Amino acid sequence: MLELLDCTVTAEEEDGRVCLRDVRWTVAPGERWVISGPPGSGKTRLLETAAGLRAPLAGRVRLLGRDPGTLSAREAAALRCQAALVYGRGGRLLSHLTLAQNVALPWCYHRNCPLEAVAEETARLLAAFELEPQAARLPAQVSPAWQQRAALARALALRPTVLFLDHPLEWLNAEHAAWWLNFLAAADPPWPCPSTVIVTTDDPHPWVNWGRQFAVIRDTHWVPLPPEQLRQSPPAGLAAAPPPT
Amino acid sequence: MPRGLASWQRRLTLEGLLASPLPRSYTHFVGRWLRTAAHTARQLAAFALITLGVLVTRRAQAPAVMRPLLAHHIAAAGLHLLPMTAVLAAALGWVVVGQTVALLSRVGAPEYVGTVMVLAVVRELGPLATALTVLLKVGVPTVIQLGTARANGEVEALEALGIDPVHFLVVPRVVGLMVAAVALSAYLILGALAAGYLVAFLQDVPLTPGDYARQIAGALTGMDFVLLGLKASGFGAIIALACCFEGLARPLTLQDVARASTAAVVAAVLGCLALDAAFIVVYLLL
Repeated sequence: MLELLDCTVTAEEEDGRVCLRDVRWTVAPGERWVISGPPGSGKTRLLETAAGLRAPLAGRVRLLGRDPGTLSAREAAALRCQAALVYGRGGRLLSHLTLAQNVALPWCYHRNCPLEAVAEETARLLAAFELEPQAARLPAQVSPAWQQRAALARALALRPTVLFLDHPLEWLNAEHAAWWLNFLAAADPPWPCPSTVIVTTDDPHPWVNWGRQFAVIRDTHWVPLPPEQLRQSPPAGLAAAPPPT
Repeated sequence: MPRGLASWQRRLTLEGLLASPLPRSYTHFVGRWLRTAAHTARQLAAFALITLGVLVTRRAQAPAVMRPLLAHHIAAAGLHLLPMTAVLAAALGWVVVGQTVALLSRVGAPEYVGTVMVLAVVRELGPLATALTVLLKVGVPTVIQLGTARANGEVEALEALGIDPVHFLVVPRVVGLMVAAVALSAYLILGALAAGYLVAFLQDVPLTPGDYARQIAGALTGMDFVLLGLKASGFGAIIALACCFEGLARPLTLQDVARASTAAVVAAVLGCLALDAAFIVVYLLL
């Protein structure tokens, strides 16, 4: 499904600071990974590299059996439809489109159809994510929690094979965080969700019950973490997320 | 007189100043500016080539999405600027055309009205005034919109959806501005010529509308229409590319958006002037 071989990941495009070295990471179908680390440790960059959006400084990436760096623009676009990435902090929706237009955009663009042609499908998608009341609003007119939920809907519209979630619970209140955990853990979610999910987070503890594989980024190194270690030592003052239903 | 003082007095004469070497700080400043300008021009040319490549290779991709986007940008850069262009055409007619017509009639050379109008308005002022209007009313908002989207990470999110940001954000703007600039130039020229005749008429210039129109038509050649279209569309392309380049091509923070807007205006104005200079050479050769 995903393989990173001795990958080195840089922080920003221009400053070239290395934030992760020699990552050897293999993700098998159906795995649920939780990657944690302090802010600025390069989790988002790692996720972008794994999703084929950024080339690693060194090493190789194989995503769904292909090396994203060797693909043509058309093949890379097709691969990105299979590997969905949802950014945190509001999901980075297009600010000049409404939530409904944002959600329908991948369908309209990749299927070459006007918005009206996918109106029914869009309505079903919005309903699955409880977004109907916000559908006609611009991202700036709704809270970041709803924006992020719309970003998840937009990413899942094309029914990807693998889902990358960048800090999904950041900026969410307990109710929204519980919705996300329930959605990702549900055996029969209201909208199809891939079984292979990779999550990055500053704090892994809300994900302890959901995740199956854990890793932490420590001093530019990738360190696999046994789940038992997290389950035995929840940090003081951290409200544990409700168990998924 | 002390030797040092005499040396300073010699330097303070005009000849002395001209003969003295330029201050090193000044030459360094000019050198740095030229190097930065050349670097930006090279990057802008690369961005233009990328846009052209995307325009050609993805011309058949998602037309159902791209056509409404193109129509939106043509309307934003063309249709919505009609009132502003009408005001500009009236001002241009009042200030330049009316006075020129009146002056030529007064000095007994009304037969040159057509030639002067074609030279001044059709070839130069019309496309340039249109370009400045489009730059200020459409170009600057474009940099702000794209720069904000870049700073907020919307562009990366588009890429993550398998949507090429150059195809989705740049191509419709470039094509839209090219089409709109040609249409607005024609509109502004016609408006300026009409307003100019109105001013001349109010000044009792003995020139009938038929003579005025005949003189202008006689001075116009088919090549003028071709070159006007090329020049106006070239201005539109330069403005759109400079604005999209400054807004999209480099990583930005929200604090950088204002600087990017200024840089886009400078790049677009210099680019339009360079294209104008190239067209003057073409006109002289014809």
